[in-house]
Amino acid sequence: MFHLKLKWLALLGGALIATGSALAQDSGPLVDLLVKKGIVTDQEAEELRADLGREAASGVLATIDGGKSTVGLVFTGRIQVQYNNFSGSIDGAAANPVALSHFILRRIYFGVKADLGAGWSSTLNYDFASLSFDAAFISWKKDDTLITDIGFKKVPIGLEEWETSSGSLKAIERSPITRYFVEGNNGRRLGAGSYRLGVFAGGAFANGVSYNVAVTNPERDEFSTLTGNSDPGVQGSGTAANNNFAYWANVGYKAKLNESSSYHFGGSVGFLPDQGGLVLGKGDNLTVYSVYGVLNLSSFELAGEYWAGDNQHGVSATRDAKPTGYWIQPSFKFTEKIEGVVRYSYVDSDGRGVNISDGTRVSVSGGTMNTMDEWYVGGNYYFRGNDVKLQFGYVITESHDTVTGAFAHARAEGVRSQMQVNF
Amino acid sequence: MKKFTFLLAALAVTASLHAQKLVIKGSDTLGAKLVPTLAEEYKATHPGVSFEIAAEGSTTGIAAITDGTAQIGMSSRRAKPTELSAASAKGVTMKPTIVAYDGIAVVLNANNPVTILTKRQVEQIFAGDITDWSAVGGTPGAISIYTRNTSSGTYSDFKDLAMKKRDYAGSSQKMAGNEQIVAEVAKNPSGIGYCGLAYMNEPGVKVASIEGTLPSKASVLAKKYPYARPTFYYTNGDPQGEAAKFVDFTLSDAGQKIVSQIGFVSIR
Repeated sequence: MFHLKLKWLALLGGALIATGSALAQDSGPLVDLLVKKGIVTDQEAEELRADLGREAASGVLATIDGGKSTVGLVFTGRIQVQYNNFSGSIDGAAANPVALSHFILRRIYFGVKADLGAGWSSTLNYDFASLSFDAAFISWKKDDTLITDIGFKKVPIGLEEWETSSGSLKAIERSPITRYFVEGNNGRRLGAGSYRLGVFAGGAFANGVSYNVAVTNPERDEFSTLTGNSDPGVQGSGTAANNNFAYWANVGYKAKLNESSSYHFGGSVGFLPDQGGLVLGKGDNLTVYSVYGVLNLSSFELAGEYWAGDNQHGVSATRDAKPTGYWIQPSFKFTEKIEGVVRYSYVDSDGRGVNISDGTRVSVSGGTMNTMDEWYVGGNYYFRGNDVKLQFGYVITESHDTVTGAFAHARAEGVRSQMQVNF
Repeated sequence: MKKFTFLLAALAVTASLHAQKLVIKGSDTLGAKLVPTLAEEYKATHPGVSFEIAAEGSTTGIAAITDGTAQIGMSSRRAKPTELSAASAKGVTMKPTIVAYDGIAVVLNANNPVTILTKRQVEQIFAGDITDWSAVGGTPGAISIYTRNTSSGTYSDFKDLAMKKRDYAGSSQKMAGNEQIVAEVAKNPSGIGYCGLAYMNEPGVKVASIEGTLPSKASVLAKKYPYARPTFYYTNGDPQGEAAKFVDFTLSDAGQKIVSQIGFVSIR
């Protein structure tokens, strides 16, 4: 009987290893049969299942081994395919903005994280859709209370911009106010977020408090020199407009109300020397602030964020801009798969101006005015949690009044949908 | 006097060096009653040992072994391939040890006239296809479903064993532990939930027979009860030191006697 058992186990192990990890992972019924026949005990079966699971996991690592110290490699990816259909009108304009009906590959991420042991790791992430890096940094983790990074990554500012991954946005794209503050300076938007080169540190404590700080190059940069872009961010050569470091800090607090309910709030600040003014390079400074909160009550979530900024000479040589705005987003999960989302966002540029396309991504362009608001009403269907999901929504954006205060109005509206896979 | 103080300090240092703390995290099914009872009994014969037991769901126990924050991870389900993969990536060899068998009992309010359910009816109730008790021979009224939370091994085991891996009804209410589910069902005449064998014999609730089979030691061991499962300790490879002694104690005759007394099914 003993020899028969060994023979069965050898046969099973050999067959499963020879035929690959997929079969190894599907070996449950076969192992169950061996238990039922009395060939292996329940305990032996569990050890066999674990061994086969490990074989399946380690088979990949063995063929893609990194440096001598690498103890683990994790590959990640994200594909987002969008369809956008927008049209718009500007009161009094001779012609309406050009309408849009198009599929786009919004993100094609491929990333690798290498664990080198003793707290050291390295992360790379590349977006093949925009031909740019999203992350390229080296980490050292003491424990959960202190993680330090050096390299290229997002700066710690804002709930929607920094704490919320692009794969977890409930309304597909970030809100107009977040985009107005963080995306590249185009003479209207402020450019105070996104990716920068520098030194980062952060951690979380058992009592729910978390913190993050960073010292970085002041300019936003998400372009690789591989594209031939001359922006010095990745290369790191300073200019008169960007030779002083920017400073960032965020502090937050999370707590549970009960088993299924929790809340989370926090605040961020960023100080960017020489990154203010109507035109960069004049020595004007930019300071931005964000306060935010999230309340989870079982299936219901309410999230919101308020932004404020101080842009020296942001309107003219004699006038600063102090833009403000907010977004608020209730959402409700009707089932584990179906979720409804509403988001309202408001931008007050304080005389600097905001174009419809500055706030609402992949929409029509035009209608640069002093304020903007946007409504998003949509739904999400989670096929396999956040890893495979379909999102769709209707977006209405309106901008109001000229930067000098005269009456004006523009409107854009349309459908946005997105299919996403994370792996 | 100085010599006395020095002696006391030396004794204190010696005692602290010998004090052993076992950190055990994971399954509420195991960690609410069984493991604390085993720990108390173990401490009686090992006075220098202290325990830190956190029962917040099997997922947390398996993660704790991967992260190295516990010596023993309690789990009422098998580690998933992704968890084995994550452990391997960190150089952790996840080793399961079966410590007891358990059945997941379907509990109803004691005043509910329904006594027997088919496997299909259980699936349909918990998935939300059947929403009124009249559909299964009960008094008309909306069914209130109580489940464990998503970090629970019982939550995922029940999906696998009873629901063909379907999702729970959106109206289901997620509870922190077996005892909370039983308490809610005892209060709610329209309630239905599930719990481990050790938690089913409480006032105010009764156990539904599944196609004529009630969960019991005999039906679980004979593999006749459809919602039966092994429960595990997970360790990083073979357990070492005090953790190994505690695992051995759990598997010993004395430990397995406690397993039976608490309401689980002994492994022998």
